[in-house]
Amino acid sequence: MTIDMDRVLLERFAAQDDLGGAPDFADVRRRARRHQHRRLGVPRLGRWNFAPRRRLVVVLLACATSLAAAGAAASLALHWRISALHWGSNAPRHTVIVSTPTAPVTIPALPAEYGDAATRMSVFDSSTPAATLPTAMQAFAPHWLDHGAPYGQLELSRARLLTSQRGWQVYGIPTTHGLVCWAVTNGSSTGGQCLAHLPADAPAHPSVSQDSATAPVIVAGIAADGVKSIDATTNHGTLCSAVVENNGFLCIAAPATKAPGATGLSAITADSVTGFRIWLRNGDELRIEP
Amino acid sequence: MMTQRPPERASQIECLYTERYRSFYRLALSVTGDSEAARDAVQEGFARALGRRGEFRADGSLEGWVYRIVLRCALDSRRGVSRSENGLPEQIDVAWMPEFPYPDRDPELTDAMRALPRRQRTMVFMRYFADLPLATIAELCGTRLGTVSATLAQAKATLAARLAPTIERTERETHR
Repeated sequence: MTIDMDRVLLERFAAQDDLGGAPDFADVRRRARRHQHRRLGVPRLGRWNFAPRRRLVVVLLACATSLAAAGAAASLALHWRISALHWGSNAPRHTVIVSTPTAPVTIPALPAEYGDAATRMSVFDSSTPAATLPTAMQAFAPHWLDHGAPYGQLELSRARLLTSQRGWQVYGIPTTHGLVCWAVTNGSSTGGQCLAHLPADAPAHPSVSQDSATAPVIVAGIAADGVKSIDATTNHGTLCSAVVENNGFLCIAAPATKAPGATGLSAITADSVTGFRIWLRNGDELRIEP
Repeated sequence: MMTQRPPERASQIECLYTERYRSFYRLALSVTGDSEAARDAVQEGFARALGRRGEFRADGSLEGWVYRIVLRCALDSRRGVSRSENGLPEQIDVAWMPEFPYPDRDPELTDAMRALPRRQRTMVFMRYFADLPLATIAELCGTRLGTVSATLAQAKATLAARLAPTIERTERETHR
């Protein structure tokens, strides 16, 4: 008798299978994002496509996420939560109340070495003049830190105006723990984040924001020394290019833009941005995809 | 260019996951012997591959690269080694002595497999349990396709000799 060993082995090995392990690629994506956050110590890609009030919540939650991602090795525990947003008629436009929680949320703190983003941005050297923060920034800046997060203290004397364009400005402020808190503002809308690291494989931190579907898309962020420019890309090509100045960048895209290859005007929203190209001064290119 | 992450590579990885999930799962199961750990190894391996896809070098197949990562995750899990996201396995020891997750279901085959040399045993598991293509086995084992075929032929001959009495008896009963 001739034995068909291929068939026999397939049949008998099949008996060892089980029903465990249903495929779930969404879980794979979540894990990949966590890995990336852990490696970079930063939120993957900030998007503020929210109304200004909600935007602040997003910013603060992004900061919390950033902390959680960066703090895997830390022993310090932090207890806080955002309890409410207050918008009194006489209050500054962006006021957030952070209170002692009744049910504490534990967020791992930054590792002992904290951040090094500030050391990778020469704009914070003493040779660059400090900026006087406008009212909107003065109102906004404390909200990064006043909940006791272990970012260190804002070094307001080292605040810098990184770049500006068409009424929008990007400011950066280092902290005593080496992080850089940055924000983009036009005086009435302000959003920003704190960043621990600008590693070699992610030397820029771009974010996209838009107040409403008919408002311009604002691409802004900070970059380490050696970054020359940033392109925000869509499925149709480059939406806008921003030259890095003083370690900051900013480009403003009109809400209706003729996309490359398109026959007519297309509505451009923050969600149109599918990624970024980072051009380094040595000619290398790095890509960031959402 | 420093690092590139072509968007299509993410799609390729997702397609690979969708189409070959059972194969990856079984491969991991043969290492961990535990369904939950096997599932975790597959998820973790794919997450790592997805996040580090820019580091894939086209000197081998994408499929082989991902199998290697999943295998590493499964081996780490079995050894109780905490996983690090840093570094992807350039080469791994593929002769990991795979075991049946449910040896009681087929004690005869279990014993026969355990009697095989390590390399033969590994390749038989890859081929007949994880359903890996021969080319991928060759890539994972760092050998040539012909060597894989020859090794499998030797293993099958050994297994046939050992299992023949039972197989023949079963087939006779089936045809009676």
